[in-house]
Amino acid sequence: MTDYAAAPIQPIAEALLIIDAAGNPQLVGHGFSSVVRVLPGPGRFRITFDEGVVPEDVGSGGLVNEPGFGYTDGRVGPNGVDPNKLRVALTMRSGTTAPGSTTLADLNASVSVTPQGIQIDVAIANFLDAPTDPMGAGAPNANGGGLEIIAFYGNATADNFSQQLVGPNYQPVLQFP
Amino acid sequence: MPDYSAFTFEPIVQGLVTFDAAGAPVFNGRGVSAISRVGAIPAGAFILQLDAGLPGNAGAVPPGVSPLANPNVRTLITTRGAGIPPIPNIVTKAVDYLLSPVPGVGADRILVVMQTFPIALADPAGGFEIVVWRTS
Repeated sequence: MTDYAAAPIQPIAEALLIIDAAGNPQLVGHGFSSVVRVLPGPGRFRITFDEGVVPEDVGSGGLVNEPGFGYTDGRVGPNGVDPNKLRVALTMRSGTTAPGSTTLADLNASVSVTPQGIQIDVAIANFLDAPTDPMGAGAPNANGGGLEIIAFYGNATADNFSQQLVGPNYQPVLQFP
Repeated sequence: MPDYSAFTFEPIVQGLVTFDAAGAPVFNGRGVSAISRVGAIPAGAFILQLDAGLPGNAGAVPPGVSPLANPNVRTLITTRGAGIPPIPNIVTKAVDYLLSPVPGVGADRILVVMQTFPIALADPAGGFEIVVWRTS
């Protein structure tokens, strides 16, 4: 089929964030190693990517294959996907209020660079801007049934202007004999 | 380019939901065979029926156990506004996966619920985009 993929982007992590029966956040998915509450209280979570041995090791340095910038085999090295290339999608799962609505209106993600690596800080709040967990302890509640998280790596590079296009609509430069 | 995709993560549904002249939802895309409102609810709640075959195979969304029901599916919904600039009217969006009554089939329908503010069920002014991924 025709290839429209002009902007490479790949999923590097995905998870469903739930709250266990003890009230602690848990992740089910791939590519993340841990989740903790950033502050006491609901709706604020810090999520750490896997690091070290797997390709989604965003824990590593940049893409430059130099000391301090990752592994010599080209993997992204310890602790560092480029935050500017990270794309995060957040979606609430339905709560218990029929027909399945949620109270969570503000779903936000930011990227933190810490000695432990690159982490996503997720802050979610209800329609009154009150920080709120995505579900109850061990079960969905009126606020929701969990939070779906997807992290993509936008492997952005500079636009390819190196190839000169020649044709009626693409004059590379004005040339005069 | 380096491949950072370390796990299976495939789109099984992508589409745009709009509304016809009668206000009924219309799905334009792949992976969904039918769309309807939820019972007599006039706005803000939709059921999307996954294609019975590939892609969007209903069986591709395996059931889980509470509170981890359907742990292997992820959805992204973006509402479209209307006008210039496209003013949005939706403040909450939620998705759920409805299990088939047939044992072992898994979720074969997707429930989408949206609200405006003050809180009330509402249709998005310009429709909504939906992408569903299936992971392993």
